[in-house]
Amino acid sequence: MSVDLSQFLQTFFEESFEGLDIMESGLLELDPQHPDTEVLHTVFRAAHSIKGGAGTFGLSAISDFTHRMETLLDRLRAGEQTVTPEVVSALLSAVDCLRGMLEAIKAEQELDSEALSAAQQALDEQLALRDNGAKGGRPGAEQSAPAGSGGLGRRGANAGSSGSGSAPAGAGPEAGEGEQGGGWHIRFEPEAHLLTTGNDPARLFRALSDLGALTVHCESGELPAFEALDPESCCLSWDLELVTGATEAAVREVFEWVEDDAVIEITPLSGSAAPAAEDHGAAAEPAPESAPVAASATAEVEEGAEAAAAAGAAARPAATASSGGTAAATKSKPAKAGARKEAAKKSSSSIRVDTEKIDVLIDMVGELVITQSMLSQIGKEFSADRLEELQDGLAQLERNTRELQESIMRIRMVPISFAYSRLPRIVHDTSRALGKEVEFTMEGEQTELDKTVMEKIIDPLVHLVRNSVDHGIEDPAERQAAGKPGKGKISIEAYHKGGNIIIEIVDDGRGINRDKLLGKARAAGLVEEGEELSDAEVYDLIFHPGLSTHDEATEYSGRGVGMDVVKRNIRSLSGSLNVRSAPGQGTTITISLPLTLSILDGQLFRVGDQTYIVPLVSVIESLQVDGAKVSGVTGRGEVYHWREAYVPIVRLHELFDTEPMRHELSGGLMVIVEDEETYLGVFVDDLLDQQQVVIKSLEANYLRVPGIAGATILGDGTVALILDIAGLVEMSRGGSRQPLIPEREESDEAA
Amino acid sequence: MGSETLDELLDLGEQLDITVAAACKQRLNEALGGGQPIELKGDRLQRVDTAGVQLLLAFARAAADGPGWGWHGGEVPEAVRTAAQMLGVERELQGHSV
Repeated sequence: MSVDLSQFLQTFFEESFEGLDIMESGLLELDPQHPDTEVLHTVFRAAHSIKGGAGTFGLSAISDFTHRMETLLDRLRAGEQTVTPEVVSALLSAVDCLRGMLEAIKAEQELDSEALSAAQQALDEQLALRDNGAKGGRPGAEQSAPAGSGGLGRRGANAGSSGSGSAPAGAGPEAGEGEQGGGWHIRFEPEAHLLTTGNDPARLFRALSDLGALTVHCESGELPAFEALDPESCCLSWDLELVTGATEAAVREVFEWVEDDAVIEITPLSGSAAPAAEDHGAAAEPAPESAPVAASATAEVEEGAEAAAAAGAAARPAATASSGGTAAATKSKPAKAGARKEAAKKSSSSIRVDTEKIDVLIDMVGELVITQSMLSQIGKEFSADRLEELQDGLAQLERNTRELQESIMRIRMVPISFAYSRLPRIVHDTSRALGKEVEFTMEGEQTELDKTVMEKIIDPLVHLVRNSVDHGIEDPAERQAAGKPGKGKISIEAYHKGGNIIIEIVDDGRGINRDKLLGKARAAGLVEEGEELSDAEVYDLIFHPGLSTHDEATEYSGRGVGMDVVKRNIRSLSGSLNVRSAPGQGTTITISLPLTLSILDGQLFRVGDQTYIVPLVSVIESLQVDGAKVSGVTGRGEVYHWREAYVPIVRLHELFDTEPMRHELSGGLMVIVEDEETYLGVFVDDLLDQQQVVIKSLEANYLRVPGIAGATILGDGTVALILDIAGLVEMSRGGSRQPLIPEREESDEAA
Repeated sequence: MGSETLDELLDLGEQLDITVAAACKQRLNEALGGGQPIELKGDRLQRVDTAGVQLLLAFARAAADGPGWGWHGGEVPEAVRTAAQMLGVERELQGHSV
C-alpha cells in the first residue's frame, strides 16, 4: 500500500531550488528602510513550501531549519520584528546553507554540520532579538552572519570560517544514509603564475570541502627564503584527501578554471593512497602539515575503501579507452573527457519545458502524420499525372520537418534568468565587502538560449559582474569627486540578434585607461614600441593573461584577472567578446553567443573523397597557395608566410591517412583557421559551400578521434567530419599554442 | 632599514591578499631588518588569500630563525586561521610569544 515517494524527490529538489532563488532575489530586493510586505510574503511562502515538502519526504534537518527561517520571516511580515540589514544577511546565509543542504542530500553526501550550525546560530540570534525586546540591528549581530560580510567566494563560503564556539546543533546528517563514503586523492601543483590569474587555492579547497570531508597536506619545501619570495608567485603545492560520494567529474569541476595553470592528478582514495602521501611528505624539507578541514576523514577512508575502489574501477576504463587514440593527447585530457562524459550523463537529468512548447510540438507531429498519410496514399495510387501532387506533398513534408526541428530545438532553450539568478547576490556581497554602492539592474531575463550554453555562461558572467563591481565602479567618494552620483550603476541585458544571443554588461565606472593599458602591454612586450592599435585591439588586451597584474596605482588594476579564462570559456562556446570603454564614463562588455551548440555554421571543403567542415567562426581566410611563401622549418614541418608571421601547414590527408587529389601545395587552396589566436593553414583539395550543419557526437556513436569534434550528415546522406581546430593544432605542432613569429629577417612582402 | 617605528607592532590592515602582498612584504621585510621581535596585528583583517598566507608562512620561518614573532593579543586572527586551515598550514602560523 505504501507509495514510493522517492520518484517525486527530483521534483521536490527542482521546486526547492526555485524557491531558494525566489527567496534570495526577494531578500536582496528588500529595502530595510521601507520593507515591501508583498516581498516578505513571497519569501515566506517559498520557505513554507520547502518546509512542507521536506516534511513529506522525512527530511527533518531541512524542515527544522526552514521552520526557524519561517518563524523569523513570519515576524518580519507581521511587523513584530524590524527588517534590518543584519536580519537580511542572516536570512541570506540561511538560504545559502539550505541550498548546500539540499545539494548534499541530492548528491547523497553528508551535510556540512559546521555551516548548518553557524547559519542556525545566526538565525537564533536574530530570533532572540525580538525576545529581548530589541529593535534594529546591533553591532554584535553583524558578526554572526559570516556570509553577509566576506562573501566574495562561492556560496557556502562561511563553512570554513564558522563554528567557533558554536557547538554543532542536533540536526544530524541524515542525508548520508546509504552513502558509501569513497573519495579522491588530489595532487594539486599550481604553476607559479596561478595566483595572478585571479584564482585562489584556498577558494578551490573551500569548494572541495563543500563536497565532503577534506584533509589538506601542504608541501612548502619549495617556498623560498622570505627575501627571495615573489609574493605573487605560488610556491606551494598540495596533497588533498577528499572523502566524498561525489564523482571524479564533480571534483574535477572544482578545478575547471585552473586546469591549464596547474598539475592536477585525481586518483581514487584507497588503502594505497597513504604511501603516496608519505612519499610527498618525505620529499619536502619541512614536514608538511596536515589539516583535517572536516572531521573524521581518516576513519571514513577505511569504511569507504571498497566504494572508492569501485569508483576507481569505473573511472579507469574511460580513461584508458580515450587515451589509446593518440600519443599527442595529454595525460589529463582523456581522463577529463571520460569524466565529462560521466558528468554529462549524471547532470542531464531533466529539463523543465513550458507546456506551450509541448503543445506546439504535438501540433507539428499532427501535421506530419497528415502529410505522411497523404504521401503514402499518393504512393499507393501513383500515376504520372499525380507528379505535381507528389511534389507538393514533399514540399509540405520538408516544411513540416523544418518546423518540427525548430520546435524541438526550442525545447532545449531556457530563459537566461537562471544564469542571472546568482548575480544580484554577487553584486550585493562584493559591493558590501568593498564599501561601494551599486544599483544593479537586469533586463531580458526571458531571453532564451540553449541549456548547455546557459550552464556554461554562468561562471564567466559572475566573473565579469564581480569585476565590474571590484574594478569598474569607483568608491563613493571618488565618484562624487568626479561629479557622479555616489551610487554606481551596473546593468546586464540579454537579447537576440541575428541568430545569436547578445549579453551586455554595462557599468558607469571609471572606464579603462587606454594609455595605461597599452603602456603595460608594451612593457610586457605584448605590443611593440611604435605599433599603433585600434581601441578594440587595446581593450582586448585585458583578456591577455600576461596583463593580470595587481598594480593598485593603475586605474585598471585587476581587470585582467581571470579574464583570459572568461574569454576562453566564451570562445569554447563559439562565442565572442567585445569591450568598449570611455574613461570616466564606464565600460561595456558585449558577449555574443550562438543560440545552440547543436547546430553550427560551417565551411565545407574536400580532401580526396572526404568532405570536412570547419566552424565558420574559426575561418580567417581562404587563399591560393603561393609556392614562394612556403618554407620548411626543422621539427615543425611546412610553414606558410602569412600576415607577417608563419603559420604551420596541415595536410589533412597525412593526419587522417587518406588519398588526396592534389599533393602539390603551390597553386592549391588553403584555409587559414584560428583557435585562441593560434593559426593553422589547412591544405584542401576544393572549397565547397558554407552551410548550417547539425552536429552529431562522434564519441557517443563511435569513439573519440583526435582532431575531430564531431560529424554531420549532409544532404546527400554522406557523413562529413567536423574538424576540432584546437585538436588539429595540438596534433600538428606537438602542443605548442603560439603562432610562429619570424625572427626579423628580410621577409617583409605584403600578405 | 626601518626608518620609522622601532616598537615592531605591525598592523596588517583589512586585507592580506595578492593585491597588497608586495607592499606587505616590504613592510614585513623592514620589520625583520629591525632585529626586534615582531608582533603582527590582524584583528581588522577581512580578506586573506593564498598569496597572503604564503607570505605569512615565509615571514614566520624567517622571523623564527631571527628576531621571533607572534600575534598581537596571542590569538591567531580569525581570517588568517580560516585561510591557513584551508591551506593546511595552520600550525606554522600560530606564532610564538614575543
